[in-house]
Amino acid sequence: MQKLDGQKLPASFGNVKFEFGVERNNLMGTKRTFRKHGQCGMEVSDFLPHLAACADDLALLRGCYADTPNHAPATYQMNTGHVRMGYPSMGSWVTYGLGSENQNMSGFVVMPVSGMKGGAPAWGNGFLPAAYQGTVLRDGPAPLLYLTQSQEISATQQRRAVDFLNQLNAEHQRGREENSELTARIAAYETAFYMQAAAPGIVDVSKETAQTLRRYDPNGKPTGFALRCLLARRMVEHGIRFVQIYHGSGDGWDAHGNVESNHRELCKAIDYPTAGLLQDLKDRGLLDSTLVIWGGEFGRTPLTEGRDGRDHNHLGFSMWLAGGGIQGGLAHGATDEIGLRAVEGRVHIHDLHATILHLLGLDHEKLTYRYSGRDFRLTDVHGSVVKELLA
Amino acid sequence: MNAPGIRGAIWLVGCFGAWLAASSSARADDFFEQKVRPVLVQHCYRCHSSEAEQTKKLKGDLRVDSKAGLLKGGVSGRAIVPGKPTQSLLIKAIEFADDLRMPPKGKLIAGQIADLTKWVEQGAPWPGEEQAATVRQGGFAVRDQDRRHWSFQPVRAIEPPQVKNPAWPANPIDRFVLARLEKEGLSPAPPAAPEQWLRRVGLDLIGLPPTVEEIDAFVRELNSRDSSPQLAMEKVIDRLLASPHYGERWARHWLDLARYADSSGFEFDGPRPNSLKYRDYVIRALNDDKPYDRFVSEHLAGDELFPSDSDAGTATLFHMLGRSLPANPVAFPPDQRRQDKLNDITDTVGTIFLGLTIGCAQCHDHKFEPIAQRDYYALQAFFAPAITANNAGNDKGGDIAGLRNNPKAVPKTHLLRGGALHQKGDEVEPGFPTVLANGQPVRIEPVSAASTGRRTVLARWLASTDHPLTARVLVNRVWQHHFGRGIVPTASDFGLRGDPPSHPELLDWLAHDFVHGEPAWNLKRLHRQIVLSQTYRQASIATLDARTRDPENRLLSRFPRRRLECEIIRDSLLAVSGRLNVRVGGPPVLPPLPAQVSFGREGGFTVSKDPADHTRRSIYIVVRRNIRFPLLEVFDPPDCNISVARRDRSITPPQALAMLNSEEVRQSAKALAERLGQGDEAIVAAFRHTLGRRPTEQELTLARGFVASSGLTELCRALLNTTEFVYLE
Repeated sequence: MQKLDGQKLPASFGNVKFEFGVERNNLMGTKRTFRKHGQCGMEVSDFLPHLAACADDLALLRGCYADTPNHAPATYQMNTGHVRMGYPSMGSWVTYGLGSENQNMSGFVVMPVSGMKGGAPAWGNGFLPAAYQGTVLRDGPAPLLYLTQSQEISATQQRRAVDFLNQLNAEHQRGREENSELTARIAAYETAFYMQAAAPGIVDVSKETAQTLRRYDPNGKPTGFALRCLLARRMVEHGIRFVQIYHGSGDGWDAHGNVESNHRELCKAIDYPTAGLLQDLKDRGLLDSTLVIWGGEFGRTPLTEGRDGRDHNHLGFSMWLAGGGIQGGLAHGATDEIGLRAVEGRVHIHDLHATILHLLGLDHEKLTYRYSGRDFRLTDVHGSVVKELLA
Repeated sequence: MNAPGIRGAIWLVGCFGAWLAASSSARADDFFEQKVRPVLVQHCYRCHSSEAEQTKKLKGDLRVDSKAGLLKGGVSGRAIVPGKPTQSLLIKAIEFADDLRMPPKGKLIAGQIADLTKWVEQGAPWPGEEQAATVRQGGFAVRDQDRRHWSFQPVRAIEPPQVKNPAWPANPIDRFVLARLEKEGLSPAPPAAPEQWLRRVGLDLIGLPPTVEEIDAFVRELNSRDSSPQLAMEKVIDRLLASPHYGERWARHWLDLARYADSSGFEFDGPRPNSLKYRDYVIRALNDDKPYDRFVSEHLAGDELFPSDSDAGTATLFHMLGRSLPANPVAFPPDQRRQDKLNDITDTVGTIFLGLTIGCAQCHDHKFEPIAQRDYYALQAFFAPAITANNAGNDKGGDIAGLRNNPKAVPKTHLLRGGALHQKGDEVEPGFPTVLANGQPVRIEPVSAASTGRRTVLARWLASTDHPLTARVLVNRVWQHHFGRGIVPTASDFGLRGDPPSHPELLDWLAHDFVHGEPAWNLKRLHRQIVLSQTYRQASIATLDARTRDPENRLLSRFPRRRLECEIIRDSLLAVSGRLNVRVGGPPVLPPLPAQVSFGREGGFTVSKDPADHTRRSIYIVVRRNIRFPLLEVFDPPDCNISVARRDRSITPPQALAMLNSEEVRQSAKALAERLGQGDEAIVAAFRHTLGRRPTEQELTLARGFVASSGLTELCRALLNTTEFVYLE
């Protein structure tokens, strides 16, 4: 790659076509240095020094590929297995398969960023029951929609109102005892009442020790992505099955221009807290039972776009997994010499999904849901578990 | 790399939780999973499973971990005879009736025995098992047994059956239902209280609860010497069916099927200004009582069949309502986008009008249904001239004129191997699914210089009086919305794998009457018959007898109580507080959103400037594919990216939070409290506005105490939160 810097794509790489015609542009070598890290000697970019220190915990997939270089469809595919919107997301499948351990919270929590390309279908339940859709966790003291009552209503009054409501509902249910739905509805109000009290607790990090806070932020004041990493750990502790954090609002990592400064800033924002999350999980003995997945919907081209940007590349890119069931310190697969296409240890999104489900104790061929005349799967009719990653 | 970072932190350990407090759709599968499988696993698998076989611990050569294993049986013979517990060895063994006693360690508890017995009695349904049994083997061919499937047979003209209690039926529907109940030794529930019936028909037909004035008028009429209960009810039904709100209510059911949205989806999810024309067309068609055969014809070929009728042209926007793949020439070249639209309309027409899962045959012959891949592309060929790369690329949602196509330059349709655009197989001519067509050739003639006439042929076939599916599928959908469940519960799957009808003769009677009655294909007439039946008038309370012998209410031994849809909950909030803006039709609106929510950065989706638009009916709230309106979202709205035949009716804590804390409920409670007056009178009025009835003595006492401590607004907030307010009783 470095040798070919500034040259046209050699014909030996075959035909390729990108959105903005960058196949006609010059190759652009990287300005980064990649040194070996950890006992495993994994090569990691100098943009990610803290993550590099975790190399022995990571299983790096260097041969990932997807079906489309377009943001929303690629995001949908990464989340649902399908390029088209309207299918259940992985978090929905997982909570459908595993249930939730926390009765006061959804089993699937999502922390999106504003302007995320693709929006809610990325955490939608598709044709699965609505209870499996991702619950959006927002910033601030009221992390769930409708969590807090109007300021005109005191906590005492809220309790009084719910008690009165329970009496009315119980009165209504008399003679209708057979109906478990009505009982469930009364129970939902009780849960809701306790959620009002408990949910802010999950996002309240004031009781975390200074040492823990410093894991996520050098100054001990995590905000943004760092805070979300900490919240993810707290949610995992509270029995939430599937937590998803996005990073890079608006155009975020979409570096069609000036990839150097774009990635420098964004890597800087995620490097420290990501490593902190891994370390924190490890110290608490949670990493063995928590699978951490890291990646975007695709990678970027080795060819330059404009002067100093890179276009979308779904033909070859990297992701990593760490934690539960994963063999750390492993670099699996490779792209060609220039990072254009995955050529060795190729892992399609369907394979990635099959592997993730496997690690969670679910067989991707058996986790099915009957809809519109047939049984659907997260992996459609594809996917095989990447056995090399398993511990 | 738009959004890397941590995508998931997942905890592996643990057991099942109880977030899903309840889902109202009690199914046989649930019964099996909750009551039967656990018993088998816990008490039988050690000696009678594949694992036991592998570890050489299998006893009696019997496996009970599949239906096939039970049917095959072991050394003592067949373990179950589905439907006949008394002849089933398994049941005899667990009852300790003979020498063979299982489990050997001790008898199961009585409830477990009863559950297993009931399961065998139901035919021992084993989820997933029937699938393995019916996978089509040995190449594709439509077999005689396929052609004999009930839904492919002509609709029969059936005489309603005789009943033992001739005093009960109000119309033929009741005779079918009662005959079935009598066969099971059950009696129907008593009629619902008049106010309850009034509330029921209001919510069901127009999606709005009755006003206090309407309740008073109805009760007056009931007690009037110049009228009769029957006349009074008929008058109410006539009024509701004549209301413009009827179209708004029932259009929403249709829009669920039609995958309606006001945006085009994917990254930009931009506005689709044409969609609203289609939405208003459906509302208008229902309000004008457009015959259903005409409605179907307009959907498929309105431009060809009725060129001078602009409404008929609007109906064809239906072809373009689905999501649009991004106009990205590299990721999705124009021919790919066109093919995507073609697949979408083929699947949707198969689902909506035929009630068949034809979409499964896009990549290969259908695995379970008698639908060949060739059938799929033959159906698709009807649309091939209309869907062009040009109009498929139009994100605005399809230009009507764009549908027309030069008959002299018709694009060829090929079977696509594996569904892949560039793996062209044989060329395919337009044709109806083989299993339905009886080998009749399809004759197509251009309707004009501008159009091939292909869709006209399809429309005429679907809307023909002797089509076996069109009317059955439609009357079943209407029935489903009135009773919460269709006579065929899988309303968009009438195939071999769909659920069988609970009342096959009633379904045929309804379908036949719908097509041949006077006026024909008339929806309001169909509604009228259903809602004026005694079946529909029943109370929703189950007797012990009904509970035991008809636990899922498949026989309609009572009215099926159910939660209201999201739109109706919001519309009711607005109506009872006197704030509903009843304007019909027009551009979509966006009421204010909670502070943390935005409808995104793209144009056209900002909160409506005119406050009057904030209180429009929910059908007019902009339907965006990438984000949903928060208050509606918690109550199971349909996924607008797929055709939805039946919505979920979940019960979740976030619903409770929304009803307790949302601005919408707070404002409604306030506005309602201001309408009420003073003292007991105010309490009574609050009950009448929200629940359509007076409080009981007990409720009045409770409410007095609560108002004294908390005030009237809080009483209203509590009433808006009651189960009764969000349920159809």
